[in-house]
This record gives sequence, C-alpha cells and structure tokens, in this order.
Amino acid sequence: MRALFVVAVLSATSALAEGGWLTARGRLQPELRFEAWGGSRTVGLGLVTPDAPGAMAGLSGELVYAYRDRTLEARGSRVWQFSKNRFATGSATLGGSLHVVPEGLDVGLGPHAGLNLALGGEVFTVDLGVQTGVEVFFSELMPRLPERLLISLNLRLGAWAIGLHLRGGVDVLPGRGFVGRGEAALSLSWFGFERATKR
Amino acid sequence: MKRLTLWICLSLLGGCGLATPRTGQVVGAGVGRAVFEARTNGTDLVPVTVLFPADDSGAPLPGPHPAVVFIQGGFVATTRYEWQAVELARAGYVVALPENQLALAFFSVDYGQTARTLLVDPPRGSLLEGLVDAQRLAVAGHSLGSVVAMKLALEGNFQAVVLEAGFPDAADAAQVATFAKPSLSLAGSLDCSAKLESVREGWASLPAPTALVVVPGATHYQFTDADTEDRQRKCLPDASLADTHTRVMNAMLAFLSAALSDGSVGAASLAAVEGVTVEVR
Repeated sequence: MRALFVVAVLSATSALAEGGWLTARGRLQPELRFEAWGGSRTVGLGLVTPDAPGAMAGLSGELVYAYRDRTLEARGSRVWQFSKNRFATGSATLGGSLHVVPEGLDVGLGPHAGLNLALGGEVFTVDLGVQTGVEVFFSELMPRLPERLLISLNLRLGAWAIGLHLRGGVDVLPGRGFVGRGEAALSLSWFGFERATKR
Repeated sequence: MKRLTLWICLSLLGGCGLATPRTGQVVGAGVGRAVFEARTNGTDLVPVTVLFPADDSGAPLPGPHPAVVFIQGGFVATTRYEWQAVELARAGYVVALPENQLALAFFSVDYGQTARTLLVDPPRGSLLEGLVDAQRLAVAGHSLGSVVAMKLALEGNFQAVVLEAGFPDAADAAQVATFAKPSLSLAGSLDCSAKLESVREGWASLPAPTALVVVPGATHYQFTDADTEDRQRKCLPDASLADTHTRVMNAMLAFLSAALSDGSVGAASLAAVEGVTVEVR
C-alpha cells in the first residue's frame, strides 16, 4: 500500500508550481553548469552560472514544459552557498517564476525561496531541500503557495553529472484547501563549457 | 526554418487546446460519452468524463437536463463508476466524473467544483452548451468520494447530495448540522470498509430532509463495476452485483427525481424501491 502511495504521489497529475530544480542543491559547482531533465510531469533545461569560477554565489535560469498540463514555465533565481565545500554544505535560493497557460494566455507570476543541504563530496552528494513560494494567476487573481520537500542523488564524473530527483508537497490554495503534488526526474548535467571554449 | 520552429513551439504550448467535444461516443442505447479537459488552480488540467442523454449518433438530446457530479472513491478509477453514469444518463441526467489527483479526491477537493463549472458554464460550441440545468444539480460520491461530495455540497452550489458507502468528515460536523439540502445515504449491509454502523452514525449527523437506504447483502465495491476487491479480502457479498446495482440505481433515481424538483427526499418513491430498507427523517 505504501509503495502504491509513493507511485501515486510521483505520478500526480500536476507538479508545476515550485522553485527550480537546478538550484535545489547545497553545493554550487565551480563551473558553468548546463542541465536537461525529464520527469514524470515535466521536461526542461537550464543553467547555473557562478559569479566567477569557484564563487559562492550564482544565477540560474530554467525553462520547463509540463507536458501533461501543457503549460510553459520560466524560472530564474539567485543562489548563495553558505560555506566552502565540506561534507555538509548548505545554500539558499531566491527567485521567481513565470507560467504561461495557453488558453486565454493566462499568466502566473511569483517569487520562490529555498534552503538546501548537500551531504557528500565532489563526486557524490545526497541533496535535501525545502522550497516555498507564492504565485498569482491573473485571469482569476488566484494565489497558490507551493510548499515542497526534495531529495536528490547526484553523481559527478568529470565534465558530466547525472541525478535522480524526487520532489513532493502541496500547493496551498488560500480559502480552498490544498492540492497534492509530486514528481520524479532524471537529469544530465554538463560542465565542459569553459574547457570547450578554451580549446 | 523559423516558421517550423514557431509552429513546434506553439504546438507544444497549446497542443490542440483543451478538449471540448461537440459530440460523444455512443456507449449504450440513448447514452453518449465524451471526455473534456478543464483548467483549474492556475495550471492543472483536469480530465472530466461526461455521460449524457444522446441520440443514435452520440449527439446530446436537447436540454436542459438535471445533472450529477460524481466523485470517485480512493484509488478507484472513475471508469468503474460509469455503470451508474450510464443508468443516470439513460434516465435523463448528465453526469460528470472528474479525474482527481492520485485518484484520491481528498487531495483535490475543488476538482468537483471544476466539473460543476464545466457543466454550468461550458466551453462555447461544445456539446455541453445549454445541456445542463444549473438549478437541478446534485453531487454524489462513493467511499472517500462521499466525504468529498459532502464537502462540495457544503460549499453551497449543489441542490442535493448522495453519499454511497460513506459519511461526512467529522471535521465538517458544525457545517453539516446546518446543511439545508436533501441528502441520501446509501449503505451496504455487508460493507467491510464503510461498516453499516459507521454509515448509520454519519447519517444521524445529517439534518432533515434525509434518507438512509440500506442494500441488504451489498459490500463496499459493489457500488463500482465489480466486487473483486471485496472477494479478495474475504468480504463476501450476499447479493449479486446485478441485484445491488439495480437497487442502488432505483434508490438514486427515486431520490434525485424528488430532490431536484421539490427539494424532498422522495419518501414515497424510496419506499417503493424493492429489496432495500429505507429510513427517512
């Protein structure tokens, strides 16, 4: 029954409305990171760029297509790593998102914030995160508050990394209750931009 | 190349738009079926299966018709309730079955309201246009779906509520006490999941006008299209699935006919349903 529930959560019919995937990790990698992912609800791609090579702050951008809900989302955020890399490394993110819903061209906008903790080393980390946010959709002036917990496993081998990510939680709909959300995703990252351009 | 890229982008984003069928598929004599999509909570796309009185080509019979929004039980597919929807449609009702998140209506209570909105304010040009009488609209549900059906009824946009093998959420007790619409509670005497005592206790919390109909020998999943789960759990029914279906539907039709016309529970019609015991307040 428990397994069935987990499967059900991860195949929830909607999983949009949350902070970024790419910044939901405790360690900010020293190089420019490109990432593409495919999940149970969304596909997307994005990048995280440190302010300077090895800097402890950076920017990220993501473009997401929710293929079951047929909506598009753009996310951007600023990420700050709390300390130099060690076994337990934390970070915070602050950003925003923009949803485009095709019928009637409804638009949703709002800020997101997150706290992340990476446990591990240069090669393998387990990342835990919490995310919160507010989004308002203009057609009905409807607010929703996405609240999420994340866990991801990340393996980096040279210029490449793969990850398995699980995210679940609720969207709180003020005055109307809540909606359960969940998604599982696999990601592929590439860090070889600097090396490729120097050649 | 630019045009192709733009076309791909627009196709991905818009797909074919929301599904708003103009005609349905005939699924039985006089009954059509169509699947709509409705947008809610900003980005959620909710599939809603609608069964309706139809002609031989699947085109809807002219309305307005009374309607029922039906909420599925926990982890039970909406298709397993289509036998009820077919019977109701054959009797002149339009029935909408929203697909809830995780097949757990509790995670997306407002999808019932989304289905209601689809019925009373349908997409222009769709088969639902002018089909439903917004003043004759009931909400029904099975098991966990009945808990959610009661919550939807308490929000005030439905004229009647039917609880199948379930009861109101204790957390809603204060609101239930002031509920002023007709209600019907249907119970199976051998239900192992929503035991008769619990359903009776829940029914006791419903204000008048209300009716409790007990189907003898019926089990929990006999409200769906099969009682396999009951049998696997050694919860054996003492009535055939066909007999239970007949009794459930006769009671629902007797109730809905009265509730959506004069606001009563149809005590006389319910008393005439064969093979069930009826209590009315």
